[in-house]
Amino acid sequence: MMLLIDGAVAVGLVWMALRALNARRLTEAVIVFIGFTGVMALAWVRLRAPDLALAEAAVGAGVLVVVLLDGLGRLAHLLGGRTPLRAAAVVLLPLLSLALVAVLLRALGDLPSAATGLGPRVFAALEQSGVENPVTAVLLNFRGFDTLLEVFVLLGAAVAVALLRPLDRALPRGAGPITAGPPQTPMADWYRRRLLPVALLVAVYLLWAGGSAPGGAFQAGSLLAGVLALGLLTGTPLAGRPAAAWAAAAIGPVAFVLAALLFAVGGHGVLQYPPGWAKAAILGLESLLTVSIAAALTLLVIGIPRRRRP
Amino acid sequence: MTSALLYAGAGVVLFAVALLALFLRRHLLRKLMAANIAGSGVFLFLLGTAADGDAPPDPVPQAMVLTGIVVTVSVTAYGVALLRRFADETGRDTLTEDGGGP
Repeated sequence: MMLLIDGAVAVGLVWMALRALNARRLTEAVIVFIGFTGVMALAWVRLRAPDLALAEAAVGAGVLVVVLLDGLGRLAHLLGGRTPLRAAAVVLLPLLSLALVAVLLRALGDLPSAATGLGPRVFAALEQSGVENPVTAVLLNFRGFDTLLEVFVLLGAAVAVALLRPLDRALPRGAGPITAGPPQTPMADWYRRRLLPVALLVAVYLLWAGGSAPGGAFQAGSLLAGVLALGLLTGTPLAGRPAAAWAAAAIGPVAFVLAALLFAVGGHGVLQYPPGWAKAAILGLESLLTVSIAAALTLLVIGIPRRRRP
Repeated sequence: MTSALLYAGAGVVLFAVALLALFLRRHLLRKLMAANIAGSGVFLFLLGTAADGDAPPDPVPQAMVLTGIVVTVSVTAYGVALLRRFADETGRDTLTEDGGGP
């Protein structure tokens, strides 16, 4: 029975991917792609990875929708002259793709049937990690260094988008930050006033639950970013000062580095928490990271900022 | 055949069809979505092959995929921003063979 469900999800994933990749109209492609991320979340649930399901759903339903639909709207005015592909490419590439599937499936069959991962070692050391959710333990304790780099990738992407601002002239139509929609649409008004506080509550819950249950800084942060994007689009006056957003985006990564250095100076390894401090340190860092992830993702959603007034 | 392997197989197919679309589709937004789907295929493969029967799932690949999702979102958002700038500079939504300047 479960195999039937898994089969349906797997086939659904492939089918939606094919629809998203081959849809005639770009709008349709984008919308099917967003549905695809929803089915991915289902697949993560079935693979017993609820942390990933939460992250995928939060990102797919929030940040990705806004970024892709906004990009779509701005590109719609382009006609885009097409040069046809070479006939050889149209014939050969699908054959190569089929060959790739055959080779990889064959390799999949040759993999050893029993996984030899680090799982047992993680579970053996879980008690010392300060949290009960093994994924959070890996992210914030055992492999904290990876997470440190990851949050800098996020911050770096936000900085890189800001650097795309043209220096010498006003922003043309396609670039420029997302603009607030009309503030007086009854449904958006009704919705956002009730949604914002609920989303804040859910984000705090996800952050707190991340210690012992699925959840954590990234899930909470991307949920918040999605709601902030909704707020922006419905004309909610969110602190219109970019400096505050940048400070919020930087506080988590900076605190992470400071904590790493502090523990190193205190005689422990870099990012090695002193005994008894692990839970407090992880919770503190995760709270700041949630703020930073939400801010960085929101800056990514807003897009290329306007030129400063001279 | 276990369900986990089913997802790993779906991951393989996703990767291959998305890679094909990355080559065949001209619109840059479509290429960006194709890269995203190919990435999802890789993630599925990673988690599908890491699963080991009824043992508790290995958290290390899950943490790796979570990191991967974050990086994918960052890259996608940056890609769309870059595409918007490119479209403004050139008035096109596709690359041409000589680099696509006006």
